[in-house]
Amino acid sequence: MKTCKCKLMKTIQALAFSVHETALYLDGHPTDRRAISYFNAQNEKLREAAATYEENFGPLTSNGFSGDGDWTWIKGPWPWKYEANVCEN
Amino acid sequence: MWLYDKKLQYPVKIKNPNPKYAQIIISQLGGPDGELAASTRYLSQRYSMPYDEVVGILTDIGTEELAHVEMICAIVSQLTRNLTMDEIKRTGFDTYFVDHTAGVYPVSAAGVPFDAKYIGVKGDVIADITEDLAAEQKARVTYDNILRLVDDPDVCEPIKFLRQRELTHFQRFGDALSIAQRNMDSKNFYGYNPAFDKKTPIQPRYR
Repeated sequence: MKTCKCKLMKTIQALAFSVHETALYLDGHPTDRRAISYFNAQNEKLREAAATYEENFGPLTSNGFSGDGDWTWIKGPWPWKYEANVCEN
Repeated sequence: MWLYDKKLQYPVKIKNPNPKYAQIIISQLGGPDGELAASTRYLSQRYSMPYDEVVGILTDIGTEELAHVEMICAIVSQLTRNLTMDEIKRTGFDTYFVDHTAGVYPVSAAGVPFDAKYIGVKGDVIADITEDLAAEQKARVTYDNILRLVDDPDVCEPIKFLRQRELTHFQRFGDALSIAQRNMDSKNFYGYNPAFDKKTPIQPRYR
């Protein structure tokens, strides 16, 4: 079964949000060990989801995984387009 | 340096274009309390900030604001796609269209181009952090006003997300202010500016 691109992107956005939000908190509370373990756990999940996305749909950053074929970084729709934010299925 | 992430921070999917809404919302790109001003303000203030925690907060919030610039541009660009000449004339979008067509240019809702006068970099710890606290509240009010003017749920969803971020950033700048004050002379926060003075107290002339 092929992973749904739109669902996976939503998961990545949610994980990236929790990682970023925790990072902002940690900037001001750098000794909060509970927050650090939450950050590490969420970050690990984000890395896994991003790797799955890149294998199936192309790189998320210009130094991300592009495969052996053509350069897929430039492949649209780019994130600000309506089509990039709705489910293709 | 920065690395582009090929995703929006929060989805923007607007079914129905509406150039009137675009003309209002573009203020959060190029207006006085917009995201471009926010990002430029925080990333510029970093260079004179003496406390590592606060530099981290300025860097990470300043970077997030760049993602908000992109979200506002996505909203404006989706609201102005596939327009007919009739819609452009009827909605008052013609005054923007004549200079920028359907390109996204940083202006306020009243058409004033973006200006660095909207931001402050005072090179003083307390002055800069309190400016940032006020900036987050002013941006929150602008989003409140946008939500009073717009009633398309597709548009309101990402706007509500951005409004909520202003509140979170206000909290984080509150952390920044207390961290700065913990590091400063509690008997007189204004005795010297740790972003500039080398521990020599300012001697008021009237003493």
